[in-house]
Amino acid sequence: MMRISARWQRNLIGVVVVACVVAAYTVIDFGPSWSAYRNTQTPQLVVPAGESGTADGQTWRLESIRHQNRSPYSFGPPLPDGTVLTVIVVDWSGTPLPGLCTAVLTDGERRWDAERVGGFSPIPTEGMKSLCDAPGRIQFGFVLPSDAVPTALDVTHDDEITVRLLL
Amino acid sequence: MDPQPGTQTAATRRPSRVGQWLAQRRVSQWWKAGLAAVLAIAALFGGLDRVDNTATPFAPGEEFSDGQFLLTVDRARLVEELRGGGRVVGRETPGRSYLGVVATLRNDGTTPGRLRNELDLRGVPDDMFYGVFRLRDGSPIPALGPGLTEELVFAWQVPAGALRQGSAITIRVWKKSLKQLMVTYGGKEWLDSLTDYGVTELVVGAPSP
Amino acid sequence: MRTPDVKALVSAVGVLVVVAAAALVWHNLPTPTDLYGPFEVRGRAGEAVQGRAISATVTSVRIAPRVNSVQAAGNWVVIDTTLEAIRSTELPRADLVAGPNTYAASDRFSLDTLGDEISPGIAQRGSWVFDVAPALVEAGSSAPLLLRIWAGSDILDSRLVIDIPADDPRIARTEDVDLAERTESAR
Repeated sequence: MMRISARWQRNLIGVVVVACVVAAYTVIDFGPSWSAYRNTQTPQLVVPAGESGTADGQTWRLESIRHQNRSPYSFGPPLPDGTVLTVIVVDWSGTPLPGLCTAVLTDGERRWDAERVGGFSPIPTEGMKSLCDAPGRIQFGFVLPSDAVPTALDVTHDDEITVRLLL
Repeated sequence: MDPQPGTQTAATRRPSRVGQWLAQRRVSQWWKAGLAAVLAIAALFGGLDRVDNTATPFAPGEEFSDGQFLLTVDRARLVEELRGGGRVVGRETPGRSYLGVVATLRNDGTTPGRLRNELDLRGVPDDMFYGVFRLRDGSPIPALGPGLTEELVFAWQVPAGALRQGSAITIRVWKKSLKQLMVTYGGKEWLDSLTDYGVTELVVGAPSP
Repeated sequence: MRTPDVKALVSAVGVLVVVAAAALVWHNLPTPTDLYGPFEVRGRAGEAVQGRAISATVTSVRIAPRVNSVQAAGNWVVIDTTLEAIRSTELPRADLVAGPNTYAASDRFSLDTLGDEISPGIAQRGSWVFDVAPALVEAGSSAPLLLRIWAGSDILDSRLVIDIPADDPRIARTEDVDLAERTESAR
């Protein structure tokens, strides 16, 4: 076997050092974006049906879920044909997270965003709110096709799934 | 050139042979060659592109093309309340008046052109751009589609005493060129020249030319 | 005879080649659209064209100088379309390519035109309205009409390109168009 000359030994050390630096840079630069993307696909916390779950200083519980097939308002357009308004109330406590907070209802395949202000969500009654940026009882409204069977409610911050409440 | 005495063997002394060859050349030539090389390389990467700096005067009623739009500036009016299409577009505000410049624009490009910065009002202190509206119905218009012609009113809010009937105002129309965006995401955009513009003067209240 | 110094010569030539190649690359850099542009999905009016996030069907095209009694600078092109989100709630956006020009959707009829959120399983029927130079849409014009639809941002995502041939029977020319309200229904 040939002995590697001193010059090529130095070259080899150089290559290894450069490879380590490039790898470290890639991880540091790309890591946060990658984990942000992963968080939009997998929830940080999954709460089984009927229970409450705690993670990262927050406790989540699904309070109630009801369906209705007419608009909650006596003015404005009717609910679209063949759809159902699903109203879900969630109770949570703990430290708020930064980012735009909203909710998404899913049947495992398809995902529906919560109705925004001016949509079909009923006006929250005493003690409830429609924004989930602060702790409390939050009401979300979703307009779904009547043949959809929702299986989970995801609460998201800037599209990253914070908690998945199984229905 | 003198032949070098004492030639060395190739294996161990190659660099100094080149050095000697270089030293044979007169030193005064090398800086010229170096300068030429630097300039040539700079030119390869666009460092020697021309920088224009011209102002093109045009008169009201005369057509002027800025590359993207063909425009004809018509008249300037000073009003307390801006009205269009039979309704109020700008409410009367104490201490401020509206300066409206009527111009006909045609978009000669192939993409919609934004209108907000098309007319550059110069020399009026504390002016605030108010909006662009269609003259025929007073509707606001943020952009003009390609191949379309509209008669428009460009409106600014100016301090009440800054202008009056008979004042002259200067308007610049910066020339544009279609450039491919390379850093931000997008296709070709019309970008203002940094130095080239057309300039016109209007007398507030004067009749159309 | 002095032998030429091959190594130095090769170095010098190498430098020249690298600088020239760098200049050539600099003058031919890929544009951001080459790198991050959308992936086009082509279809025709009358058929459902499906991308990653949105499925669209152009049902009719109406060309008129007035819509809801509002006069156009050129001619209005009203494209009635049925939109459906495939997997999640999306915000649809559209533009129209007519001949060499690209037109943005008019903002003057915002309550009746498409551009509101669409959700899976719930079809939304409405129109996109464009103010187009008359020469490009007059009867007998050979300029192709392409309606392009995408969801949110079109960076590295699908963009539907729906061809509306000039002789398509779905094109109707009138003097005035009444925009119908936007409606939604689950099939």
